[in-house]
Amino acid sequence: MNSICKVAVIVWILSVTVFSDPSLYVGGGLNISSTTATDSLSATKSPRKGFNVAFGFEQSLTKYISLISGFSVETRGEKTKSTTDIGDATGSIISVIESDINLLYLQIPVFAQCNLPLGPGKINLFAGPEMGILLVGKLQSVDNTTIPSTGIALPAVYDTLDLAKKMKLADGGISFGIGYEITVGKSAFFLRPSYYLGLTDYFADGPKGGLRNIKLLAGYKFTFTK
Amino acid sequence: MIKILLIGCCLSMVFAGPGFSQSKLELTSPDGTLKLRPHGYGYFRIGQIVRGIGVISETPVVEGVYTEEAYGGLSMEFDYKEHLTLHMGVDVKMYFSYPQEINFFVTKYAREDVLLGPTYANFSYQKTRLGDFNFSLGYFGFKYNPDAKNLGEFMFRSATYPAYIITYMDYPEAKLLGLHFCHELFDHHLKQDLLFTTETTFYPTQDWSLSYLLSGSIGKFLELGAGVSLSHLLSVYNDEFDPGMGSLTDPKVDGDNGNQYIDKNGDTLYYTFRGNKVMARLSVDPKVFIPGAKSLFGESDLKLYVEALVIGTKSYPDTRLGGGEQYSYDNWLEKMPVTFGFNLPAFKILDVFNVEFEWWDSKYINNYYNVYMTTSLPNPDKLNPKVTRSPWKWSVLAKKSFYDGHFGIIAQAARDHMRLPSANYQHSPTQEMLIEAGDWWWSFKTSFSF
Repeated sequence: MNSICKVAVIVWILSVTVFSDPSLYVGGGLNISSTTATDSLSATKSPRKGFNVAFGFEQSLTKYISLISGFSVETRGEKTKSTTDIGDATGSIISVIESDINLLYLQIPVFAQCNLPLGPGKINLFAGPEMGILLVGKLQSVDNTTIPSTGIALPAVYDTLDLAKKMKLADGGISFGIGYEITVGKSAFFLRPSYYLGLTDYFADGPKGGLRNIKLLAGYKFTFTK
Repeated sequence: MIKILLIGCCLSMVFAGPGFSQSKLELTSPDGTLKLRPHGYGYFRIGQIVRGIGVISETPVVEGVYTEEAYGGLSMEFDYKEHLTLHMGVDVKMYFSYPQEINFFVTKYAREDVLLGPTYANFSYQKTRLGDFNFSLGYFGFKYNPDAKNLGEFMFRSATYPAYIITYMDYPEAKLLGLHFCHELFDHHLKQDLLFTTETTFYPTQDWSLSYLLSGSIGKFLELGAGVSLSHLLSVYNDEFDPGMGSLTDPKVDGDNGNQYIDKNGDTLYYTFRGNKVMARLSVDPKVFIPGAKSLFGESDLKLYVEALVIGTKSYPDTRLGGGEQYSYDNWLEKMPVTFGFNLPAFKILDVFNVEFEWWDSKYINNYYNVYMTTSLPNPDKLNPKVTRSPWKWSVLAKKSFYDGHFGIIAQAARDHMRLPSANYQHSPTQEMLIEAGDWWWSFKTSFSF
């Protein structure tokens, strides 16, 4: 009975083949990213806020299923803060290093999307592989050192390190999310929150770990007549 | 004949059917023996090197270098009776120099170079008992890998020793001067090309190279290709031209800055520009297995392809006489760029939405300065300790045409083998600009043609 239900659902989804005109979409929004790589156990990590700008295409395969491809320019990275006592027996010297890993990727997704009518629009359930090509990789840090016993704060030391040479060119992962679109004639406004799970190590020469990203994409799509 | 043509020609607009992207303007002489088709093409391109390696800078990294280029060309195509077609064209390129030099005023304004457009005679014998034959003679464009959009198609865009590659945005083909014999069988499913061409780009120019390529397809799913090129096979400036110095292709220069090496038998030999290239490629189109793909996807969507080229089959040992800079090509991987690409689904909104990668683990930077500017010997340039070469290149290209192909826009982001031109030829871009990880440029181009 269970199998019959599954087959029925699949047949229901695939039964109506509607190759309507594809849609073109543009959008942008907020990225909140982090990584699982770390080379300092003492560092506290926090997400980095950034942006995404997207451009892509959507083609209906059936009434309920569509395929999405395109590209987007997106930030990745994270913030870290590590506090170390570099003093000796005569007194402590506290070094607080705050680092900002600023990464910029050209992301290329290919998603399958399920569109379920609800109210004036549709709920979008989507998932698929995504590849990122590294455009910029920089580590910006500031070292604030203080001597607590005297209350002296040394001048902050700023540094920028080019991370690109230590990183892999491409990053691969999967994205999935749920969104909603409001149909306006042949076009639609949409909001697509998603989560990116990097499946590869993004450092070629560095700590192991992958990229993570929460993405809030808002956009507009319109029918593009072939 | 011309008078007859001018007085009596009839003008006909032939709008091509589906599958052709452009309309054709054709003038036909009254007796029907001569047909004339004019073509025009041009583009305007802007771009920016977001990060790259400067050409002559002491501090190699440069950022935000803006670039522009305009191009125009006119060509004529004459059909004479059934088998002979003549192509004649002139192109003009306008460019801006990089860098703009304080003491060199010609680098401070736009320059125009006149280039020879496609200029060749083609003899065509179609649908004979033995297949289709084409024979071309002159200066013609040649492309053997129909899938390559930016990276790849290197067989005629590379020099052997030192291994050297060139690319141009949205122009993934070579211009060759010489002879081209093409034979196709089985409704174009099997093709062979024989080329005897003279070098126009890679020193020693005017040397003659012999190349053979074979390609075949199995249905629409699989296409295979292979080729070999005996590069610089014939040297036109031999030892008699400059006695004791060898030919330009096989120079014999001793000492620190010479090109001697010792082989494994202990014999003293000389590096040479002469070399053999071997290419293999494969292309797969999975759309044939997808029901309804024709109405869903564009013609190039979902195609996956790979090309490998050995730029010089001969390996040189890691030794040198004279105590100078050490250099070698003792590992095939150092002279074998492998490119692979994929056309993402663009659902006919775009003509092409393409991603390409190249892996080439050469230890030398893709530079011809030593050859063009200093020694004229087949030695690679010294390694620059300030520059770390990445073996990876990449390219993302989107292309859309409008008005039946008469107008198009192309956008590209890439770390490819680009170079920026300079009117100061001493500072011409012998070295590619995008070398390190993190280097890349974007460019946007509008093209127009009739």
